[in-house]
Amino acid sequence: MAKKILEVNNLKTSFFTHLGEVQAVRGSTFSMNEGDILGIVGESGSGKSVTAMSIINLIEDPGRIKEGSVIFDGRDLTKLTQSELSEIRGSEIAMIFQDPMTSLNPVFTIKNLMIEVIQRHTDMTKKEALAHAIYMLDLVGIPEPETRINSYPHQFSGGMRQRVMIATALSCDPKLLIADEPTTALDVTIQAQILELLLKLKDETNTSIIIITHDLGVIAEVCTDIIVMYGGMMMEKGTVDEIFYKPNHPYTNGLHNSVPHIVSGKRDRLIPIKGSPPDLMKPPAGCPFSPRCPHAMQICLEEAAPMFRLSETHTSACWLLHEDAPEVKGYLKGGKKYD
Amino acid sequence: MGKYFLRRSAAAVLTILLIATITFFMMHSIPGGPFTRERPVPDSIMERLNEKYHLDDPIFIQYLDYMKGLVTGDLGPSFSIIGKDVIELIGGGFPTSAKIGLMATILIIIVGIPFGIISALKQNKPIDYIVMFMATLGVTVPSFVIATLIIYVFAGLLGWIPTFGLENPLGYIGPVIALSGYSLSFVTRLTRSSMLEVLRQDYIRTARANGIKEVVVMAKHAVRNALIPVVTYVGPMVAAILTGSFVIERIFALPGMGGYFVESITNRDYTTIMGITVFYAAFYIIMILLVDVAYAFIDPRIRFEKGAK
Amino acid sequence: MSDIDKNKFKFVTEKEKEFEEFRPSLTYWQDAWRRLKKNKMSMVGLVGIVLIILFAILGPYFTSMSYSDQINDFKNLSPILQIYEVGPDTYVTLTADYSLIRVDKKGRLIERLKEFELNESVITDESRTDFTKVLSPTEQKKKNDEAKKTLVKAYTYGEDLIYLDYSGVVNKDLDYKYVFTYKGVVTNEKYKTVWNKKYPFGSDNLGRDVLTRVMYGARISLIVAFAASLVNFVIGVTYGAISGYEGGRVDNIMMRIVDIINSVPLVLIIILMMVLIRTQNGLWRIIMAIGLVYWVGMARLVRGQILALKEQEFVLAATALGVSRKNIIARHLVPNAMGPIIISMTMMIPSAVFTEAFMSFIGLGVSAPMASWGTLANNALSGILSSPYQLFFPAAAIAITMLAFNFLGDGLRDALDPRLRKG
Repeated sequence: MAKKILEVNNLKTSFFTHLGEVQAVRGSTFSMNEGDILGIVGESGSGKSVTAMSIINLIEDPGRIKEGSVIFDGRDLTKLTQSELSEIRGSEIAMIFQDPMTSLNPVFTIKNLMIEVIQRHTDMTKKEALAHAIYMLDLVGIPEPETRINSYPHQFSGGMRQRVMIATALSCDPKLLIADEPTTALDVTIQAQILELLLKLKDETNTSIIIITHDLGVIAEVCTDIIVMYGGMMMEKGTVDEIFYKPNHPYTNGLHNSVPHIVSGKRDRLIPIKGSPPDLMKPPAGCPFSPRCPHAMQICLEEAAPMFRLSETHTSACWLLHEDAPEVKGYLKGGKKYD
Repeated sequence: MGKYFLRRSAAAVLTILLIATITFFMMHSIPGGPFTRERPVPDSIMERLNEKYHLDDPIFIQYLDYMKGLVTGDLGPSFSIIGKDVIELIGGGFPTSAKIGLMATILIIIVGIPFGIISALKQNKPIDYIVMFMATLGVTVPSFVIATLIIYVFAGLLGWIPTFGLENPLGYIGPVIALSGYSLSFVTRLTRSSMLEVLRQDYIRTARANGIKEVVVMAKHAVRNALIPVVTYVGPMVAAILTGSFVIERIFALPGMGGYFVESITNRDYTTIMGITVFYAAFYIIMILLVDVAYAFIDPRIRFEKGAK
Repeated sequence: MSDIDKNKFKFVTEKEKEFEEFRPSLTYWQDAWRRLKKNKMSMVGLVGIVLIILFAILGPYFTSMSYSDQINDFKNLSPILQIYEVGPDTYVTLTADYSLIRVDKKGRLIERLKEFELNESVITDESRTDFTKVLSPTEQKKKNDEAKKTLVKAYTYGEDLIYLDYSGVVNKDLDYKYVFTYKGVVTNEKYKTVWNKKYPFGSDNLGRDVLTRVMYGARISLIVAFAASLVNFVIGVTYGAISGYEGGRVDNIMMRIVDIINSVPLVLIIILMMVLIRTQNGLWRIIMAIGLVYWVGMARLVRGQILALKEQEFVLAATALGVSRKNIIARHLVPNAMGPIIISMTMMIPSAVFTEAFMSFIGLGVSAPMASWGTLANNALSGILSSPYQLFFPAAAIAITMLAFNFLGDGLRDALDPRLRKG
């Protein structure tokens, strides 16, 4: 039975720079069940990272969560102080980041770093914490963890450091793990290993995972559900099957078309999406994708589409799904608006 | 680690010897010899002086004599102050200069670093502007200007501190502040920018994401990294205090080595100039060496690169 | 569902969609200048520098005296004069060393009144009527108990004497500082406070105009600073470029030499050079001394830049096209490294000003009769408590110049390389 662990409502996050307000996230709404692996996919600047950071409010000056709520474990995280949030971070919700080379403090040993986190959130003694840390390192596949734990970050390779980060993040048994582009900075082979690791850990601990990425391949590999973001807004949400086999948004389709298919045999042209992402300081009034959309309509330029419901799990924000819209192949018209 | 230290020590010793050698030969390349003064010296006295300072011997003998003297701590007699050896002058003046220099250093550390950190944490707030403004002044206004201001305002107008001399313990205040002004401001600015740089780093974000309390993130994770560049400034700081002491000791009329040095320059007392120069150089080089070693301790990345050969 | 106009569901053509506006691209330098202009502090610095240069070059044409004109009678005059009206149409002002100068109503200097040796027999009733004890200043010095004494001086004016009772300077209980008595009239209140028109910055201990000397000092200090920076630039850039470009052993050796030079405080080297090199021209001596020592910083900087740049492809392209080594360095690499070089030069100038002032202060700077700000400050040091303005103006000039260049330098750093931003 599906238990909802996270509910995000109309999240809006902006960065108030002296050049203007950069609206990074302009109204995201979604929820997540226990055991889900939710993938948030989009280009650079789509708002996916900021959405993830907003969940545990790691947004720093000059940024701020403008509006919306993030309900976790019955509490609205956006209303908590940083001090209260620091209790939750690392123990209930953990996050790992993109660049393992710079994400570990170079002047401390791994032992120091991990024990600090463990003792922060549990009552373990130093000895117990050490033992637990070694256990976690073993779990993520670091060889000879008892000795290697005394090393400094710069003595590890990128892939190893990422594993260390994962070990640290999971050391206090969080319910939710947010992984922001965990494999982007790594080689493809290491990438596969890390993804495999995440899956294995999820099975063993039943941690729910949010993976942020721009790589559809990664999504296809591990995710159960997918959110497609563009221009700070959600374009489409659904299960992995729905998004891959029954996409109902021009952007999602564009993404699929721009990925090379080895299988097809013929030498197809890559079809990139023409144009470039919108300026988030002056976001367009309507659908952010409309300037690049082959099926753009007048209404698309004026008003952003609401989410239309296609199935219990599948929603898409596209005016083509409105009952008054013309028929276009591949788009299920008449979808009901998502309330 | 040990090898690194040995290598650096050897290099330091060699450099000191090299500097002494260069100084020696520079001195002796003056046409007419160091005895060419405004007033001509009677021949008989010249002869005696030549004997005493071995100026009749070929230059290489003089050089070896000098080097031997360096190693044993004998820097020769002063040229202008009859009866006193250079080493005596150094011995007499060094404690005073050292005391003031040490106090200045302590002031710099306990004021500069905390203010730099505070400034970084409260970036662009009023306290930041105030601290940065004062620090900019401290770096751009020369130390002798600050010193004279202090004398004029605090000694002359207000009478809070004595105008010169150290009999009164309050007399330390003026010189210490004037001497530390530049470096204090520099350290504040450096700490601030270093701290700001560190706060932008990913590993700070990681620490926060792991739920570490903000105070701990600042005090443990950030400061440790922020201080690394500051440690590298210690070398130049010693130099600044050293050279600053010439001017400060003169202005406040203090019996320190810096004052003797300036006097020896004015009097063209060549042995003293040479002796004190080599002393300063040696002191400075040793300080740099210590800083390098300390740096290796603080930053593990350096430690493992240099040590593991 | 709210009603939406069905017409809105028509497809729009490419043209009807808005396209991004393209910002015109600026060259590196235009962009940097734009950023620099926005930085108010650095603009203040730039304006300050221009003003200082104008001050130095044009200033002396507007002052009444030259920098070496001495009027001994008017020595140690403050820039602000307190004028006393001692008699009908008779005005005087007092200098810090108790010379009495007769001035006109507007404060223009006329002449110095000679002091008159006082002894008992000259005291008449025309002097202060309630004198009880009068001691000449020499007798004064013999006694220690100054508190109850009345201190008096007298000055000849025509046939009569002007008496000055200055007990109030020492005896703080008295409510007057200076009391003048002339022909029976007692004056203890200031008539006026005026700006010294002949000596806007006051006069020094030889009666020379401090303002003019500060202007000349500006010339010397700035010439030394700019010239030294130029020497520093030429040597440093050449050395660093060659070292960086050649790499390998040549680079190693060259940098070793730089390290050795750097292992001593540079000021010591300058001192040694100034002491030991005895060419006639003091100006060239200090320029060479500063330039020949500080180039190491520039060399290191340039070498670092070159090392990074030479890996870039445009260098490879130039080499493949057969461009000579000299030209690659001079026309391709160095111009691309100009950003940090310019910043370094801008910061070099205040350092040179400071170093020159420092040298002058310990007696090693430019030699007389040339006077830089440092020499002026040095000379003024002994009179700091009595004539502070003599030190104040050169010191302020040094400080302002350094501030201006520092502001500009900070702004340049932000403008030319945003990554180095202060934070």
